[in-house]
Amino acid sequence: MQSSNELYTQIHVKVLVYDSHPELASILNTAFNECSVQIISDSKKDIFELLDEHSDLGAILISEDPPYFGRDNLFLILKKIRETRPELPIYLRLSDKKCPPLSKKTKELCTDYFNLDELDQLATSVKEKFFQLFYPQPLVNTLRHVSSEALSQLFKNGSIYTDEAYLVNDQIACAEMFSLIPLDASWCRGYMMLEANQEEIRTLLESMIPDRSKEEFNFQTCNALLSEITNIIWGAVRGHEHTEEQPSSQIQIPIVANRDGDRVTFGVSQPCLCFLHSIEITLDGIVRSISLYQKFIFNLTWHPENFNHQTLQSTNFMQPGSFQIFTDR
Amino acid sequence: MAKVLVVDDSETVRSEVSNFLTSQGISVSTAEDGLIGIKAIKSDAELKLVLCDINMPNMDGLTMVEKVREIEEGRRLSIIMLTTERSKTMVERGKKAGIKGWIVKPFNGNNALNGIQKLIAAN
Repeated sequence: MQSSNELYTQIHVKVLVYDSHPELASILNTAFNECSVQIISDSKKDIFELLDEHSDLGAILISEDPPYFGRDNLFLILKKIRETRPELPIYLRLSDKKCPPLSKKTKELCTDYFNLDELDQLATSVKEKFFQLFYPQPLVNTLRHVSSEALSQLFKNGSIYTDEAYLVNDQIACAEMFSLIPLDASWCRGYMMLEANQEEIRTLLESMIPDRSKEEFNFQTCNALLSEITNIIWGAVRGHEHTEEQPSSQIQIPIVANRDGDRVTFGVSQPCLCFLHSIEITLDGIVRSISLYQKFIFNLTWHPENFNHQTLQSTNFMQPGSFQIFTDR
Repeated sequence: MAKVLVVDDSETVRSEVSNFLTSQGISVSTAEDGLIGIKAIKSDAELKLVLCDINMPNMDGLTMVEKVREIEEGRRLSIIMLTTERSKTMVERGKKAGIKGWIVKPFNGNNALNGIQKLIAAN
């Protein structure tokens, strides 16, 4: 039988490709094979609509002659992307047609630019940007599994689907609400962050506490549920700490949240590990899907070799939902 | 009617546990942290059982249990921890303070009911 660890594939980065070249997606898939890039592409849509739809992108790859807008508007488009999504690296594909050279100002807005015959260089650039930390696959699979299991325990009347792990940039908030809880173990120090939209959290509350009217669920009750989901997953992750000793280092760095543009930064250049969970709940006969972004930010220390892949065996009642009565001594 | 105090900083957990116990004919009061929990215990001699979280603001659950043991006069209140914590150190600390049980969150009422009823009856 295949173990759960073997079912999962490599960590990837989501890259929005905005380019009308008919074969580009397949050419890039081949070139990016080693660094696991998931290409998102829909040239029928406006690029800014796509950016709105995909808050969890890792990068954007755009043609020098972008669909709809054309080369004449390239500078303005790049400038607007920089303003709306400053965390996104922009890779510019130079046109294979003979065009006047790009202005210095235009080039400065891009992280890198490339011709189709220089894709190796591009793949290396993407790899260096995103794969700065090494994430052992068994560790990633365990985090994914225990998080998904914890959600299943909490939402017994729902179905949980968890995407493969991917990397997202520091600085961007993916949803309206977020919670943060410190991770302080021998294998890492940093934070776990959960993000969700308030209306979706309200739907979960309705499913959990059906005898209360929808109007009773306000922002405070939504906050409380997000907090409890965070607590439950955090507890499950902590069950894999290698030892019970706390790390001696108490170094901290500030986390900065900026409500303008929904920014939050942990002060690091490396992207963070992300899982997207979808919780499907049936309410009043209608199936509703709730998205929950779970990010791990290992911004203080990262020692994956200390991670314990087995659940702690220090006591024998460790499963979520279990109850043990102690006899008097 | 048997009375249980639920001490947890999460409103969701307080509601979920209270709703379940109330549906089983058990009277429930709630407190949001260890400090409020101690006040509630001091002021209610009818309490039969306390379900208490560990990670809470102002005063954590284990400290609350230890304080309760210091101030108890005659009665020995049954206390169960209801928490995501599973570390041996914390369990041992709880046992030392005389807790009666440990529930790992999320709360599963059907799993816990029998034990809760036994502890209430023993009081």
